[in-house]
Amino acid sequence: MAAAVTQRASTQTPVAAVGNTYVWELPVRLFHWINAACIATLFVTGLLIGRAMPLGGGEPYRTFTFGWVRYVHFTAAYVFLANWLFRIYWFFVGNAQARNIFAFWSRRAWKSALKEARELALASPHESQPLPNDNHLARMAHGLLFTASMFMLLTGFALYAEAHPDGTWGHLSGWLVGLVGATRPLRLWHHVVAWFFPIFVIAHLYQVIRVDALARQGLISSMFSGYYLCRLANESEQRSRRHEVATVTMAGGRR
Amino acid sequence: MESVYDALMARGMSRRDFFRFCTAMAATLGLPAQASAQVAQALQAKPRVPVIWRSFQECTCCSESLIRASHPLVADIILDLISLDYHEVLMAAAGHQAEGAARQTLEKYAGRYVLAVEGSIPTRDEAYCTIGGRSALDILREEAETAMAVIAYGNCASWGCVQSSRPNPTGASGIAKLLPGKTVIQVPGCPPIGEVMAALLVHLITFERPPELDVLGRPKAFYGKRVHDTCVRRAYFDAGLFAESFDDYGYRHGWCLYKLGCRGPSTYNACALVRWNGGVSYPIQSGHPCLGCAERGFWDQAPFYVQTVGAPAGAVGRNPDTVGTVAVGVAAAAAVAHAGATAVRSLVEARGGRPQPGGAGGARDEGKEG
Repeated sequence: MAAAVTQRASTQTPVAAVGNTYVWELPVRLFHWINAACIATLFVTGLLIGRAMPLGGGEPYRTFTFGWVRYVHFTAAYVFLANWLFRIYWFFVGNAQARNIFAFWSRRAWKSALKEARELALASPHESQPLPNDNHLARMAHGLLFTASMFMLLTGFALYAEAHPDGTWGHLSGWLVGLVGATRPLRLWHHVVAWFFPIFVIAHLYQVIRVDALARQGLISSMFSGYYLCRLANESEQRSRRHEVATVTMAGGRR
Repeated sequence: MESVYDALMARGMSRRDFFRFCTAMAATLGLPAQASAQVAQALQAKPRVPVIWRSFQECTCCSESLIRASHPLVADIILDLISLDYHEVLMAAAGHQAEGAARQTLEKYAGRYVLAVEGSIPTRDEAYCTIGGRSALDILREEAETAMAVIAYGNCASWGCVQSSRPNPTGASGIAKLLPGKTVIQVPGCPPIGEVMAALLVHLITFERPPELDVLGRPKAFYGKRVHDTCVRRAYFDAGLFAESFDDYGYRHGWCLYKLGCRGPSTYNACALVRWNGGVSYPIQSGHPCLGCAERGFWDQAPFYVQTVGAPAGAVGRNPDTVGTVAVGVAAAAAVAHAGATAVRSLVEARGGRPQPGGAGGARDEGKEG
């Protein structure tokens, strides 16, 4: 039962349990896991391409090992692109939780992010997020992820067009090559920015495990089931945030 | 003025050789079969095109390459195709006489001569390169203004090449940047292939307009493909068979030079197709990784013998993979330390201790989290 939420450390303000709330819609969850798979694939194959580990064996007329590595990289890149395009579309049509952009123009978002950062720096064991989107520092990190992803797509497909500058991708990315003057610098920056992703993954994994363990609102499982144990401090907050909490059901029951 | 054909006949060339030459040129330019007749017609009817060849900050390797072009039946033919009115290396005249020849072409053939430029222009202080008491920039601007076409031969004239590499003391610049609004045909390379240089002149004589150019102003016929995509060792690349050093098994067996820093995958040139010294070979075929000499800023892409250049572009001088691996390690260690610090604070509070402001929170996260 949602009401039977055990209270944690005595210093915490008592919260009213609202119950299981549907936060992550299926398209958002699908995007998340496809994105994770793409990032893992792209990073590993990308390193293999950049470092060129000796993979080959036998005679070149019989083997296409490195060609396959590049093929997987390019294919994953197409999936990565389509996935992001879909997510951008869903940003506009999804529920309130799907619009988890870091509002860098808003003073409130910055204040909240700074507060989160301060608590994180002090390793505060108190974590509570009425809704997953309440953490503006996390939103900022995802904003960085979005920016890095766009950068990788831009430089990546410009490099992809190297083989055929007259093709579609060549025409789409020609301005970038013209701007930089050559493709080699693009290759370098594509390689440098790629390292953002494993660092993000480490920080992301650490943080979701930490929040899940401390806040006990089922953050990790919410990315599988879509349901999150929402807690709002009092009645007025519940009322004022009703539009964000789309469907409140009892103890995880699905409609 | 006599036509190109007359000049060639006077030199004792047979008519058959002449048509053979026209066919070879049309093929080199990537033109359809019937274009060889067009080339032949143009060379028979049109007078030789006057060319002013300017040398600014350069090493003369472009001229050296041109006079060694072998497909258009060597240099004397090229020198017969055009009326080379000014070329510091090749002309006999000197001093006022030489400058007078350039002046004469400028006035007599305004709008009909070709300006070929070899070498970069100093922009920090024009005094770094002066000819006959005038700065390179003045000469370039004046002669480009009334030229039928401006050709930037070599990487210097295209983008500045070695003089513009860090720290670029003379402020060396390619010529296209200094001629706004003017179409400059970029023929990069250090040097460019002689046949390419010659074919370009033939194209200009025949059609009186530049060939199709790409986004960086290079003729697509020669710079439309990477060295990588036409490479004789490409099969080894796709198979993942790489030479790791200049004396290992793979190297001796002609494997791909990607891991030895080959710049073929990011270099546009016709090396693997036209090749050098009369089609004998090209760097990769002879066992040296491509240096990328036809690409902008290739001198700053050190180190040359590894695939991954230092980050960023040699300024740090470290391999981005090393930097990245260290950063990932730091992030993982920070996460572990942070988890420990959180646990300690949790325990302190559970024992009834007051949360210490700033206590136990020494661990710093990367500042990013999900």
